[in-house]
Amino acid sequence: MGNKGRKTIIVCQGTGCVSSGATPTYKALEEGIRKAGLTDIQMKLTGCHGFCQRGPIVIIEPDGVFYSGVQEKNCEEIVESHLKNGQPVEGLFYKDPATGQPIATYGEIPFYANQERIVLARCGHINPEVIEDSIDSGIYRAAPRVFWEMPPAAVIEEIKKAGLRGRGGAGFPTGVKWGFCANVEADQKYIICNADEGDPGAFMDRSILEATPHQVLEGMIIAGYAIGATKGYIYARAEYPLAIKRLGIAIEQAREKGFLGRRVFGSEFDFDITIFQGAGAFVCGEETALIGSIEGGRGMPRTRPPFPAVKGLWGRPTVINNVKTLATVPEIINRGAEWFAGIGTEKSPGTAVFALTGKVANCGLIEVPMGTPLRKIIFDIGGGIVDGGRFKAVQTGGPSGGCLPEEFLDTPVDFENLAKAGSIMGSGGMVVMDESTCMVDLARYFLDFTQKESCGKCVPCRMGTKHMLEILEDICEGRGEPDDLSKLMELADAIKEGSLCGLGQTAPNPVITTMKYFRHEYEAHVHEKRCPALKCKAMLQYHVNQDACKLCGTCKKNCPADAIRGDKKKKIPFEIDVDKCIRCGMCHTVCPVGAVVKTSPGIVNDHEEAAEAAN
Amino acid sequence: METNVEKVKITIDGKEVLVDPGISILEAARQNGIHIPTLCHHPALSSWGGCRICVVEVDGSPKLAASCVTPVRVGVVVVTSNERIIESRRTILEFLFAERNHNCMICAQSGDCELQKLAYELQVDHLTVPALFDEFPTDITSAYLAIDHNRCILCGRCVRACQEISGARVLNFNNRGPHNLIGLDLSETREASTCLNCGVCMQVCPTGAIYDRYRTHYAVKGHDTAWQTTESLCPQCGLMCPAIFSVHDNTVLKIDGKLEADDSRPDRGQLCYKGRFEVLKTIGKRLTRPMLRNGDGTLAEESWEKALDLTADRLRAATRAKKGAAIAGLASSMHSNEALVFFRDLMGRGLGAGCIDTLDGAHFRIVHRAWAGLDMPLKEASWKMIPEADHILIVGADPYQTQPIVSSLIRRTIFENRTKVSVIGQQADLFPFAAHHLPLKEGDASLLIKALLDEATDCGTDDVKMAQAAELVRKLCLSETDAAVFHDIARTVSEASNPLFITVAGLITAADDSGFNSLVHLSRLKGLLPGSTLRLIILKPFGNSSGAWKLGLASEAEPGSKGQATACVLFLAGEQVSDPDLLERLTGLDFLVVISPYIPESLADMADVLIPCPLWIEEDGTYTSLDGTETGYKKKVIEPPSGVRDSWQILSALAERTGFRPGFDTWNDVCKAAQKEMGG
Repeated sequence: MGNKGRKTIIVCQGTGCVSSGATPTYKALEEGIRKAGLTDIQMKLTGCHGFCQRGPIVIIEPDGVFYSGVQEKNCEEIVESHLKNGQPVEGLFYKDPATGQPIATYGEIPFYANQERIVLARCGHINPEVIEDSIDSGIYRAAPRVFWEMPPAAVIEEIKKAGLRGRGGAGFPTGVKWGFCANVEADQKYIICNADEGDPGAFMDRSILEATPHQVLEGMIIAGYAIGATKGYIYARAEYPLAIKRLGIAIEQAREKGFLGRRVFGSEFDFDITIFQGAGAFVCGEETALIGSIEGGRGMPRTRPPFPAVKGLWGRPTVINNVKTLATVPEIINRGAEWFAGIGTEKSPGTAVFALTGKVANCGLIEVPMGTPLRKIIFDIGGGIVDGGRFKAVQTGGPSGGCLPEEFLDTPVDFENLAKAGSIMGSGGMVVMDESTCMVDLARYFLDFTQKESCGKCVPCRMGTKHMLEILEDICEGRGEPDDLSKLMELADAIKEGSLCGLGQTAPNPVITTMKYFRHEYEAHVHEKRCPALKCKAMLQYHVNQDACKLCGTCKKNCPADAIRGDKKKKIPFEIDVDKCIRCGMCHTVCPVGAVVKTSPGIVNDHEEAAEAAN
Repeated sequence: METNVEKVKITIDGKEVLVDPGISILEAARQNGIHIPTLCHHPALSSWGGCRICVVEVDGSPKLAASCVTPVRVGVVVVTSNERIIESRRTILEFLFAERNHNCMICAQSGDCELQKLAYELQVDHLTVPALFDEFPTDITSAYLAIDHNRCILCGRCVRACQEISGARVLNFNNRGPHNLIGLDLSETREASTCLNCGVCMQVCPTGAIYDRYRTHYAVKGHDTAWQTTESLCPQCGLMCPAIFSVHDNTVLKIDGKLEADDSRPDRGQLCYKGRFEVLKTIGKRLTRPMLRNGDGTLAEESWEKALDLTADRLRAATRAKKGAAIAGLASSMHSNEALVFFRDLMGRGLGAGCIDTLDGAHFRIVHRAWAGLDMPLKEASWKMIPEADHILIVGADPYQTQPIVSSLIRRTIFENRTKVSVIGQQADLFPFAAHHLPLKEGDASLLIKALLDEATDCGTDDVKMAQAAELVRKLCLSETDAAVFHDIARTVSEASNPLFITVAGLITAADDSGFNSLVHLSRLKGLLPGSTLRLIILKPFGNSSGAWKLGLASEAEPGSKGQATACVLFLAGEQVSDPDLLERLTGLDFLVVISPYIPESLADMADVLIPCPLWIEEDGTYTSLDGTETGYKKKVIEPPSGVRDSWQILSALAERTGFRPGFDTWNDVCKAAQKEMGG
C-alpha cells in the first residue's frame, strides 16, 4: 500500500472523523503540502480506522505514525515538522490513558495491537472511492478464482467447512443457508445484503460499507454465484448517506471493470446489485420485513416458514446476509476454510466485530477472535473505564440483548457463551457501563426503543412492551409497587412466548437480564424509592455541603426554579428547598467547588414499615 | 380432488388425523372439528398471524405458534388447548381490551362482535393489566360507514380485504407500535380519501371499528342469534353477486358478500357500494294501496278491485278505439325474467300493444344494430374474463358507476397480473392505476374509435391506412400529449394477444352509435374468444337488461314509429322516472297506469292509476347475467308491505279482467315459461 519510501498521508474520512472535523483537516494538509512545495507526498482519504473517539485521525505511512485529534490548526505543524523536517509531532501522538506515555505508531497502540482484523483489515488503509486501491489491497481476488476454479456447490461447501455463522445476530450457519437456497429451483433468485443496522450505538456495518465497500460487493458476487442469484440488493438505511454514496461509487466502478453486470469477470455468470434505501424502521432489519419493504410494502414481518431461502423477495428464493458475513466471505475463499476455522472457537469460528461504546476510555470499532474474554475487550482494547470509574455492566446485542455484570468479565465472547449468560451476540453493539448507569433506567431506555420500533402487527409485542414500559416508567418515577417486579416477569414471558418475530421475542431481554443480575437496584427503586446510581431524577435530592461551600452564589444564580435560598453578601448559607427543587441538576453542574451533593436518600414506605412492625 | 396428493399424518389433541399437505394447523383443526379461536384470521383473506389468539403448542416447543400461519408437517404433534395456551390467549385478549376503549354498551356492533364473543368464550371478566387507552378519532365523514378507531384491534383484516378483495388499496397501517392506526391513503378522512365505499372492510371487521351507518343500534336490531339470514343474489347490475341478507322483524339489517366462497368467482364474493348500501336507501314514499285519479284531479287510495277494473276497462277501450298502436307497454329492466315474460305477453298477445319497450331500449337498439352488422352470430364476453386479459381497453364506460365490481376486478388485475389498462373517457377510480387516459369529447367518439381501429389494426403495415389514420387523428385536434397517448393505446391494442374491450352502448349519448359500431368491429378484428364470443363486454344500465333484451321486451324499432299510443302501462321496479325524453313521451296520453313500488313523484300529475308492486327484495324471480349467458334465482328476502300483491298476481288479475289467457295459472307456470325462454 503506497510506494516504497514515498510518504502517504492518510486522513480518515469515516463518519466519526468527518463529524469531528476531518474534512477541513484534509484540506488544510493538502494546502500545507502544496504551499511547502512537497511533491513526493501522496494524500489519501480512507474509511474508518475504528478509533473514532480520537478523530480526526491522520496516519503517515510507511512509518505508521498515528496522530489523533488532528484539527485544522494542527496541520501546519505536521507539514512543517514531520513532513518537511522528518520530526514527528509528539504533541499529537496518542497517549496511553494508564501511563500517560505518548505512543508514536498505531501498531503499538493497545487499541490496535490487541485486535485481530480480518473484516476490518483494510479499513482505514485504502481509499474506498478508488477501485484500484481495493484491487491492490487484494479485493476481487477471490471472485474470479471462484468463477474459474469452483463450482457453486464447492463454494457452499467451503463456507460450510469454514463454519462461518451469520454476523447479523442469530448466528445461523451461512453455508447451510446458502445450501437451502441453492437447492430450490427457481427462475430468479436474490441475494440481499442486510445493511439496516439499527441498534442504538452500533456502527459496524456502516463503517465497513464506508471503508471497504468493494469487499462487501465481492462477498455478494460470490454468494450470488453460489446460490444462483443474478440480482443483489443492498438494503441500507437512508440515515447512512456516506455509506450509500460510497456504495454507489463502488457499484459504478465495479460495473466499469466488468465485475458487475453481464458476464462478470468474463464468466458466463450475470450479476448486478441495486441499492435500496430503507426508510429507517428498526424492524426492517428482520428479514421478512426487509423483503416486504423492498417490495414496496410496509415493513412488517411475517411468520416463517416459508423461509426466504425458499420463498423470499417477490416470492423467489432469497438469501439475506449481514454486511460482515458477506465481507468475510472473500477472505475465506482466499485463505481457505481451515485457516478461518482455526480462528476463534470451535463452534464460533472467525472474528467478531464490535462497536465498543459507552463509559470506556477507547470507543471505536474493533475486531477480535471469537472467544476473546470480555475483560480483554473492555480493559485492554477499550482501555478500561473512562475517568477512573468502576465497571458495572456490559450490554451486548442492542435492544435484543442483555446486560452482563462483572462476574462475566472473563466469559469468552461467542454465540453460545453470551446466550448462556442471557444476552446475545447480536450484530456487534457493545455498550460498557459504569456505576453511574441505573440499570432500571437502562432497561426502560431499551424498552422505550423497542416499544417505539414495534411494527404493531402482533399484539404481544405491540401492547406487551407498552405495558412493560409503563411499569418501568413508574418504577423510575418513584411510583413502583411491590408486585411490579413479578408483573414485569409475567409480561416478559408472555411477550417472549407469543410474539411473531425476533423483535418482540427478544424485546424483554434487557429487562430479564437486569432483573436477574441487578435485582437489588429494582428493589431499591420499588421498596425504598431510591436510585443507587443517582440517575432517576424523581428519587434524587440535592443539598449544599456547607463545609465545602464557598458562598459564591453561582448555584442560586443558575437555579431555574428559584429553589435555592441564601445570600452571598449577607453570608447567609445556601440551602436547597427540596419542595421547590425540580432536580434539574443545574446547581450540581455549575458549582465550582463540588459543594452541591446529589443523593438518593429514599423514602421508607409507611405501609411496609407498619407491616414489618406488625410482624 | 381425491388425487394422488399424499396426505400428511399429524396429531391434534391426541387424535391422529390425515390432512392435506401445506394447509395450516388451523385449517387442519377445523377440518377435524376442533375449535381454535381466531381474530385476525379470515378465511377469504391471506393469513396474517398477528393477533396471536390462535396460538397452539407445537411439538412441545417453549414458543407458542400461531396456528393460522403454521403449516402442518409430517408427524407434528399439536395441542390446541391447555392451561398455558388459554392463559396466553387471555393475556392477548386483555391486552386488546386494555388497548382501546371497547365499551360494548355503546357499541353499535354489540351482539355481532368477534371480540365480545371471544371474551365470553375465554371467560375474561376483568383486566389484570391497566387500561392504557387514549382517545382515538372517529371518522363519520362517509354516508355509508363510520370508522371508530377506539374499537379497532389492529387485526388488519380491513387492510387485507381492501387490497386483496376490492383492489382499492386505500387502507393501510399508519405509525408504529401502540400508535398504530388504520389510515386511509395518507391519513385522509374517508370522504377525502380514494375509498370506493365497497364496504368489504366493514364486512370483515371483527369489532365495531368499521360499522354501517344504515344499520340501527343493537338496541333495535337485537342479537345476531335472533336474525334470519337468506342467501340470495344481488340483482342490481347483472353480475349477480351472491349476497347474504340479515333480516330482523322484516327489516334488512345488512347485506354481506359471500366472502367464504371459494375462488369460483373472480370477484371473490365481494359486494359493491350499490349492493351493500344503496339498495337499502328508500327513494320515495312506498305505494301500499292502489290510487286512482279523482274527478278533482287528485290521486286517492282505492280498493284493488276498483283500480284493476278501471285499468282493464280503460285499456280495453283504448284498444278498441285505435287498433294496435293504441297501447304502449314500458317496463323497467330491473324486473325479474318472470315478471317481464308475463308483462310482455299481457301487453303483446293480450292487449295487442303497438309498442313494448324497456327504459333502456335506446341502449338495446344500438347493440342490436351493431350485432346485425356482424358476419355471424356472436356472444358478448363475460366480465369474468377480465383477469385473463393482457390488455383492457375501456371506452366510454364507467364501470364504477354501473358495475362497480368490474372496476374492482380491473384494479386487481392491474396489480396482480400487471395488465395494461387503457381508458378512453372519464373514469376517476381507475385514474391512478391505468396505463393510458384519453378524454372522450362529445362528437369525437366515432372519429376517435375509427382512427384507433385503423391505426391499431394496421399498425406499421399499410401505408395508405396509416395515412388515413393520421388524417383522422389530425381531425381530432388532440394535444401533443394526448396524441402520444393515442398512439400508445393503438400500439398496445395492436400488440395485445388477449385483449378485452369494455364499453357501453352509446359512448356519450344514446343516439351516437357509430363509435360503438367501430369498437365492435375493432374487437372482431382481434379474433374471437372460444365459443363464438366477441372480446367485448357491454355494460348495461339495469340489473336485468340482458334478460329483458333477450326476452324481447326492448323494442327494435324506435318507439312511436308505429304511431302514437294513447294509453300506456309503465311497469317500474323501484326507480323514479327522471329521463326528460320519457317524461315527454308520457305526457298527453289518454290513460297512464303506473305499476310501481314507490309513488312515482315525477309522474304524480300524469298517472291515472297507480298500482303498488313489491320491491325486488320482496319477491322471488330469476335474473340474467350481464353477458346473457347465466340465469340466477333471487329469493324473496322480506315480505312486501301489507296489502301489496306480487307482480305476477297483479299482471294475472289484469289479464283476467282483459280476457287474456296467458297460459300461466300459478307462479310455477310463470317460472317455467321464463326458464324455457332463457334456455336454462
